[in-house]
Amino acid sequence: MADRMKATDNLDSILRLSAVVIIGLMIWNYSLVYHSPYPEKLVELEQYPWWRALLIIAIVLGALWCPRVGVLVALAAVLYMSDVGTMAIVS
Amino acid sequence: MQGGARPLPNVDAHELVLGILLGSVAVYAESFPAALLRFADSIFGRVLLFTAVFFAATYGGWVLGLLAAVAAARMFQYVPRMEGFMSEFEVRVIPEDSKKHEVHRWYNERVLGEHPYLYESDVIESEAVQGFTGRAPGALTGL
Repeated sequence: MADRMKATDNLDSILRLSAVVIIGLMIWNYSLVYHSPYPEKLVELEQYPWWRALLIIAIVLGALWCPRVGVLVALAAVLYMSDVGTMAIVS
Repeated sequence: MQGGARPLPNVDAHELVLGILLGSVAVYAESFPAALLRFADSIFGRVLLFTAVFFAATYGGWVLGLLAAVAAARMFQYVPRMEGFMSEFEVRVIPEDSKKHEVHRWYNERVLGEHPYLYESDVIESEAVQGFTGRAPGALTGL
């Protein structure tokens, strides 16, 4: 894990930082702010297993690329599936 | 020379199978039986899931541990909560011509004379009265 924490070059470190910031902002905007709804497309897609499988693959790929990105992608995916899935149960 | 593609880690066949299994659990958690999800939400089930996540992270690597944690979180998401009448509950419709039911009637049917046409659950959770001192009806400790 320790070797994957280090960026290979400047571009890699910039991409990692960008991914962390973007995913962090997505978590903040959609999952933590109560009155901010998810986009309609994301809400529609959550019911399909292949979409959820893609999210799991994204978690694995993100984790293999950079542990920070993987953890944030996992957090975003779990919160997204929890929010939208719970909404589907209630409705 | 710097940069370039980073090789993927060597993945053991067992780890690959475990990863696919955990991923499938995370994807299809909503299809699991309600009884299994209730077991996962019990004390023993939580300890079991926590142990599974720990062992997945210890022996399979932290990526598998992360997948196990996601799968566990997805299972907890669909645990049926007893909040009102929801379609996910295991509603048991009582057939009117069931001879078995004629013999084994529920308490509220035999004693209270009720005739329900369905039951939401056959498990009743109750708690003892807390703080009853016996000094007076409804007397509470410390009042």
